[in-house]
Amino acid sequence: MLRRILTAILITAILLPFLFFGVLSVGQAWFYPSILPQRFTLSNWQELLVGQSELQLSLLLSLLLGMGVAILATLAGFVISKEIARAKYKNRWLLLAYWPFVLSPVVLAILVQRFFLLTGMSGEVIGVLLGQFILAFPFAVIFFQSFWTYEILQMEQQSQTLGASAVYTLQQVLLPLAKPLLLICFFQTFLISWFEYGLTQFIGLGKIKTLTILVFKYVNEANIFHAALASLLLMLPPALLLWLNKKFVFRGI
Amino acid sequence: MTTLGQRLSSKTKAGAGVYLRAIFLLLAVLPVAGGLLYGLAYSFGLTGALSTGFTLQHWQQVWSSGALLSSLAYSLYIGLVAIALATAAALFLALYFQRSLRSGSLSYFLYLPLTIPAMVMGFLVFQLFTKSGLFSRVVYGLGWIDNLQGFPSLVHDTLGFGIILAHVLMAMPFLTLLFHAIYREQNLEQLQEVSANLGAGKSYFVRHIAIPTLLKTAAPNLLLYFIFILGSYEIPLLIGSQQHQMVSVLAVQKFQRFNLLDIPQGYAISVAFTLFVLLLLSISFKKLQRHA
Repeated sequence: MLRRILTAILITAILLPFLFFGVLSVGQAWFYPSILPQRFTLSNWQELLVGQSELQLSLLLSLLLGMGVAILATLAGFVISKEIARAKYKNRWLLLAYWPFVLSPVVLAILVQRFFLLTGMSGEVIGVLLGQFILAFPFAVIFFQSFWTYEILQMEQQSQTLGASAVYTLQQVLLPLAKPLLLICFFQTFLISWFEYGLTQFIGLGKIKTLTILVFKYVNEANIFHAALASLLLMLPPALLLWLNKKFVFRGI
Repeated sequence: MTTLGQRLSSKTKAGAGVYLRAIFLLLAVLPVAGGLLYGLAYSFGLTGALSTGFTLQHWQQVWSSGALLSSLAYSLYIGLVAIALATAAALFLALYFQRSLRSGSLSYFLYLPLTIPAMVMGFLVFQLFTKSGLFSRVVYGLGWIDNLQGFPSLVHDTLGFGIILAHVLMAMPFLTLLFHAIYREQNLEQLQEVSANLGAGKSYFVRHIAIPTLLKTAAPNLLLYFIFILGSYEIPLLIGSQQHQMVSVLAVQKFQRFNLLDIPQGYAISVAFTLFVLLLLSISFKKLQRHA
């Protein structure tokens, strides 16, 4: 009985952010001490459907950046992780991969900002994409280490010994085996970009308005209703994907 | 394939390998190493708009003001308390809700909080725990306080309650799932049966077998999460206090002031923090490897 009550409390606590932001996103005035907003409206949500609204553009930009970072980091990580896995001093190489990954993104942004200023990429989408890639790529390299096992490397060698070309081996042997991990890596590097704030703000100079930047902007403007809607937009797509792919995406963290 | 062909092929592979490693160094190592060197040069006055040649002045200012040390100590305090509380809570959840995590409702619901980014978590904690937040309204509705001033300051407070809470809420689901996965991988269920057959009670099994095994196996992840909290930016930016700042917030603040003389100090703080994290990581991993 106690276990059931605790489970119910836990599930309510888990759903609270979604419900709370959902209610706030359709609210218009929320004066103390009311528990619920005084007025409800769908106008905030309608802004999303109306062309060229700030929220809509921000959503599209976040999606594009996330997809770009995820595709580049997954592909580069897959190829280069194999080389690291075969390296003589594999652990030393991996320790290097942890460098950008463990640093605070905003501290990393401070350290690399000169490069972005010199190349004119500060305040540009390409600069933010590259900055986020610097975070996501080492993650992908570390992530794929679990794929390049001795067995996989032997299988690749065997395929080539039997006369298969490198391209054929990649297409017919390695990619089918790596497909689940490629999808997981794509999803997780997408989330690195999707959730990123500090580096995006610093390298994007506030001009590249992703959803996280908008949340902070709305909070600063005390526009909690728009902030709640932007927060929901950040949370819902990954939540839906997770819900659909739970067993697949997070199999054996 | 002929011997010559094999040699050529292995040479080509080796050549490609060198290029791939070079790309890895370029993308993963150079940004940090280059940035670190540039930051060092800037903090020593060797480059930058107001550069006057080598000087220790900026480091001395950072050191004598005590800003770096106090913010580092504050970050360590936040990190240690948050990771300790999150670990304790996650251990309880992972051990108490074994069945529900394996196939019950929690096996789905516990993944949902992973979709909440730090910025949103900061905003959520602010809206729930501020003096005019949801919980203050509920408490007022219950008649426990007379006005919003009666609600305690849980956000922007000097003890960092809000920051710690936000980090605990973010870490707890992840650590619970991690402990649950380790529990299954290490076959702790079977070990429990064995220990029960040998006469050990459930609490003995939990205290002497389950918790030590889970903590030991999860130690690298706990360390990485602790480092992640040390460098956190969004949460302290939103709900941190004005008196105490975490390192990332302090560093960025130096850059956002209009005084150009603050920038070398910002670099000094960033470099010092980077070196501290790298040192912590190397020492901890060596120790963990030795104990593994």
